[in-house]
Amino acid sequence: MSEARKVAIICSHGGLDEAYPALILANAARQSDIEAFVFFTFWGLDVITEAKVDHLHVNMAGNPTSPMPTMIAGLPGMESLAAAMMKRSMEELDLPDAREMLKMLEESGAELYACELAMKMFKRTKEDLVPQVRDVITAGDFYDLADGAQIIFT
Amino acid sequence: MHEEDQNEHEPIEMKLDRIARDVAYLAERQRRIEELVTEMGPVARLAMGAATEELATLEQKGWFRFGRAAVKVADKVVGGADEAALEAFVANVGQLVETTRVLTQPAMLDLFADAGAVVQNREQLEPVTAFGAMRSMSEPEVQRGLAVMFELLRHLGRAADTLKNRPAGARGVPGTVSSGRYARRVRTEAPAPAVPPRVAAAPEVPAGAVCKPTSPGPVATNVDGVGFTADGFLADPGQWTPALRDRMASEAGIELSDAHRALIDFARKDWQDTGSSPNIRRLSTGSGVSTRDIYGLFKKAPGKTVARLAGIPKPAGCI
Repeated sequence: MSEARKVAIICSHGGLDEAYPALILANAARQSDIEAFVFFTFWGLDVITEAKVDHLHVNMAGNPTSPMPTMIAGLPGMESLAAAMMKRSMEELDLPDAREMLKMLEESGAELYACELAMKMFKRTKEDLVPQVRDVITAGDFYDLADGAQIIFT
Repeated sequence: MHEEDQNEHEPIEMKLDRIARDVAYLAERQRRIEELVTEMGPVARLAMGAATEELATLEQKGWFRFGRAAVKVADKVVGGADEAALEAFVANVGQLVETTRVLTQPAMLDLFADAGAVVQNREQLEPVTAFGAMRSMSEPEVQRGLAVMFELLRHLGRAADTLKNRPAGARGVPGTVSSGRYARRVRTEAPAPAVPPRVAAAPEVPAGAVCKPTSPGPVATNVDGVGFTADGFLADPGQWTPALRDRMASEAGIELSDAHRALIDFARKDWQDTGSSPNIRRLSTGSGVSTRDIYGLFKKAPGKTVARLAGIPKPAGCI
């Protein structure tokens, strides 16, 4: 490798099971000395919102591969139950929770950005976000950042 | 006195008699001496002749030439030996004698004779191709020979490390190693100055490594007897020494400070305790150094770098 590899990851979903691919990919990139940018947009904004990051849920409804049939998964409380189950298995594997993952990412040098459009849609400001977020940028800015990088959409 | 008194009053005749008697005595003595010389003459000549012959033979054989050279050698040795060298020689004479004794054991002499014969008859040996090498590897004798060779290499490597690490002026005692985790192991072997006659015990398996989730890969390259996998990790974690760590760090362009070394030691200890190399998270929580600081110490890929420098396998897992 003549110059450093770069990877730009877009996180557009806010479920516990949906946010992790982006976070883990970013962390693995940093561990292999690859520059990483993570762009949180739409529901992914929940992952970096201070009020929501500890309460990410897992929704099995409509998921063809989930063990729970959609009818059951849609019942009240099922979301929280599924999230609790997933959190337990994550603890067994010693996986950090979302907040700690964001902290690790920021300390390892990954850059976290929020989508400006999504911020406007959900009416959030930078103060509502976790302190690890570097800036609020537009999609165009994101493409500038991702110049020369491999873009991964999750 | 008495005689001198007498001499004054003695008549001339008596003086003359006395003188005649003395002369006769002297003459007799002289005659006897001459006889002796005459008799000894031939004997002496014979002896001289024999001695000259003998010396001539010696010269012909080259004794004097050798002697002159020996004197020159001795001169050089004596001239070159300073105080320290002489003291060291005296201190190690026992060791030298022991080494000589071991090397001249009948078994060793047989080994040398065999090796010499092999080299002399090398034309009779068929050249070995790669396939031939693989086939030969299945022979138990070849395998035994390889085991001896590798053990030799191990000893050489350890000796090289000791030489690098020992304080200036200290002499390593053969059969023991002054530094590191090998000190305990090697002392259980019989001290062997030059070539150990038997193979050493198997390397230690760290406690807690019953089922190892992370294990080193196959050997891809070999540097100075230490095997490395394709991505630069130690193929045999047991071969790690602090000296190796320093060398790998300097090759990677990393300057090791105490903080670096503390992390590396923690990583190695953690691998020994749990059987798997710690990832960045475990490094951070276990050592108390924040992830930010770890990335500050090891700028590129700290998890992997620390594992590589600690001689443990690459950390498994995504986190």
